[in-house]
Amino acid sequence: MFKNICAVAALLLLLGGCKPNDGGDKFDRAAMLTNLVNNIIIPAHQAFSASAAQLKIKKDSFTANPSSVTLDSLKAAFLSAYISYMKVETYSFTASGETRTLNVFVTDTSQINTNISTGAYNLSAANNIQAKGFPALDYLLFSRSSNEIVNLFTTDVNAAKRIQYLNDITNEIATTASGATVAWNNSVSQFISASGTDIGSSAGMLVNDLSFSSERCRRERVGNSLGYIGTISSGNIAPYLLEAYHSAYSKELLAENLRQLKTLYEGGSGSGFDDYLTYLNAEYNGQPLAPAISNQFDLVIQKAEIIPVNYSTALTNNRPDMESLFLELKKLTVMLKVDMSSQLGVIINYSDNDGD
Amino acid sequence: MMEIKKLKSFLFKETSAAPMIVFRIAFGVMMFLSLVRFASNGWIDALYVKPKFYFTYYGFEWIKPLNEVGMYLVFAVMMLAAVFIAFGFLYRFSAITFFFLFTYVELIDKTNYLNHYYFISLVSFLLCLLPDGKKVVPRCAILTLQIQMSIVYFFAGVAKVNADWLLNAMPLKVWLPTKTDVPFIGLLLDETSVAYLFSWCGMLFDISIAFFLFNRKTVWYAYAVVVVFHILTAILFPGIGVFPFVMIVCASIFLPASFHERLLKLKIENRKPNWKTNSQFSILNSQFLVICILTIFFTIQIALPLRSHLYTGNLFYTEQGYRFSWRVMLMEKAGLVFFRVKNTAGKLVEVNYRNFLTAQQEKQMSTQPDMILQFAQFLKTQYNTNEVYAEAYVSVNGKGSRLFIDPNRNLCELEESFENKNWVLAAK
Repeated sequence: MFKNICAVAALLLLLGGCKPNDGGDKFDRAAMLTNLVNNIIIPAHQAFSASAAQLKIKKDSFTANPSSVTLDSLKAAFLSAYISYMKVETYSFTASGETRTLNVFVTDTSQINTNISTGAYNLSAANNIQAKGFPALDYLLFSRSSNEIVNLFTTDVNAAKRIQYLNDITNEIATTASGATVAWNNSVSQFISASGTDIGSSAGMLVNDLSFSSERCRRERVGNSLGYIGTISSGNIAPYLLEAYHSAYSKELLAENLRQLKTLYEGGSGSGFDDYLTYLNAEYNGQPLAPAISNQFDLVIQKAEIIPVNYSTALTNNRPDMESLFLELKKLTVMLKVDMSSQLGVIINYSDNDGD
Repeated sequence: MMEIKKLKSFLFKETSAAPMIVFRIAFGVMMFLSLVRFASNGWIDALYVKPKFYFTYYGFEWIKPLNEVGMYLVFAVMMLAAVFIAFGFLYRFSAITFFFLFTYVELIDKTNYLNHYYFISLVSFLLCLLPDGKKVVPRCAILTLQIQMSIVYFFAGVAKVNADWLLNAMPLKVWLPTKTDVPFIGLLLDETSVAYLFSWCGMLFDISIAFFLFNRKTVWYAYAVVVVFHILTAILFPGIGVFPFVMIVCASIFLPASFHERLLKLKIENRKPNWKTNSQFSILNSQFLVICILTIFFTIQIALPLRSHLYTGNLFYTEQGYRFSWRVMLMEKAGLVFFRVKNTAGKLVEVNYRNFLTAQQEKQMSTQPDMILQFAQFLKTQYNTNEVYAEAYVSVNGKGSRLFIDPNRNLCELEESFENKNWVLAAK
């Protein structure tokens, strides 16, 4: 009897919760996803695609007529493509295809040289993952003086093969960029309709991508070269571990990466994860979590921006600043990976196992 | 003496074997299907072949996975044993085989600990002892399974009597809104009141259901509630896998014997069912021995969920006494650990340990102190160092991230034990 009463009471309560006037203040995840995909993700891919196409054009002019002039414009195109790559690197969705493989550093220079001299390579193979994409271009275009680089593509014994390699890796960037852009355009409605926060949902994947990117940024763009993170390296400063080591573009890329992550988190000026956390009244040390994360983003961006352009020497000369950046990135990572994910009920690092 | 005699005659009164037989068949089929699902999801490979490191249980460090072929073979034999259990073929031998292999697999890595796996180990252990395939069985056989079920529900309910669950509706308040895409009821799940309702109903259900299942007058209503409850959890939390179905099937042991008899007659009338053959309590003829074993078994069963009270500190942080206690879906816990080791040059460097662990292992390790310690010991040998430090952050039930492990404590100097883990900071 008690059970019956319980069941009836439960049912009544359930139906009671169904009043139509309760529908107004719900957080609209689909609207957030619509904003994110239409105003951030798609434009980012279009921009990357356009700059990758431009990179290919400049590469073609350089290979047709290698000179310090064509090299300079190719370098400029490389830098602008690299910057716009920062807008798309974060996403691990199926539509992104192999985008993330275009920036696996540290550059494997010996693998690049072997590939060039043998002329036999498959860029999709696992052993070439650090011998292609932007890290490879960084090496091929910036590792020596302009004249020497031009010579490598003209008079060097392997010049023809090097041109071929430059063609192949640049074309792969352009193809991947346009492929991902097309795929994202085609998956907008699918992206929006996966509006839950469970495994495989769009918001769930974005939260994972955000915390993964923050961790990666901390480790690979800052920690490794500082000698703070290593397999069991000496613990000494190691500039060669930097992203874009040869072009000395590390600091710009780091700052841009963090700005992009912040844009994704806040949904630009539209609905984003900050609004979602505000809706949930999520707290961090007794304060609202949403602005705490935004402030932390601002802090690390500011700390990244004050790094001198010569990141390599800053590792030694601006060590306290670098250390503090490293520390604040840890705080950001904890906020995203522990606080935000657990407030949103998103499973981080998921594999598809059972749990209870 | 009179009482003992009475108890004996009560426990060993012959009753219909039909509930046992239905249970055995259902359990066997269920296990077979679960194992097929497990294998087809690629989990044998992901959980028992791929990992480079396994989180063994304290005292069971000697349990090691076999090689790839060996692990697949173990699962194949388990599947066969499950089928044999269902058919009652080589029943005793099959039950023992199943119990040992299943428990072996579960002991390989505590990453994969699930309460329902533990439940399956216990039930298959009981199946090794309990009589099979007969027209009648002593009442204690059925009673044993019923008590086992009751312990699961009751302690799961008692565990829910805590401030987070009842007063803050946590973690359901976080979990339910993530399920708003579930058809029909999804619309309600954003409501805080629904989270409270589910929390309280879940607690009341768990604590009380066994009593209603034992009562002949309410058993059918109670079973209906069991079915509805577990189907609801299966819809809302697909991540809990086969657990709801295991419980629905196993709870049928409470249903009246007449129901099981009808079920069996319908099914196997023309097949010379072996349950009609009359035989004795085969493996354990001594009633005294049976009583002793079951008494010890259930004493342990009741003691294990209570052992957490022997520890100081917040259970949700230390997790001392958390496993084997039917604490099911009790908390939302997320964590992140940074490990630092002293390298050969005498400098402290953070290590990127991702390559040593699977995603699931990392996730489990990040929130459980004993696993953090175990992994620190692994890093000690891996890097040939004497100093390993963990800076760990964890958030329990939405309370926000807190420093979790004493970052200045050299984990190489600690050893796993049943003692209080005073290096778990957030527990204080």
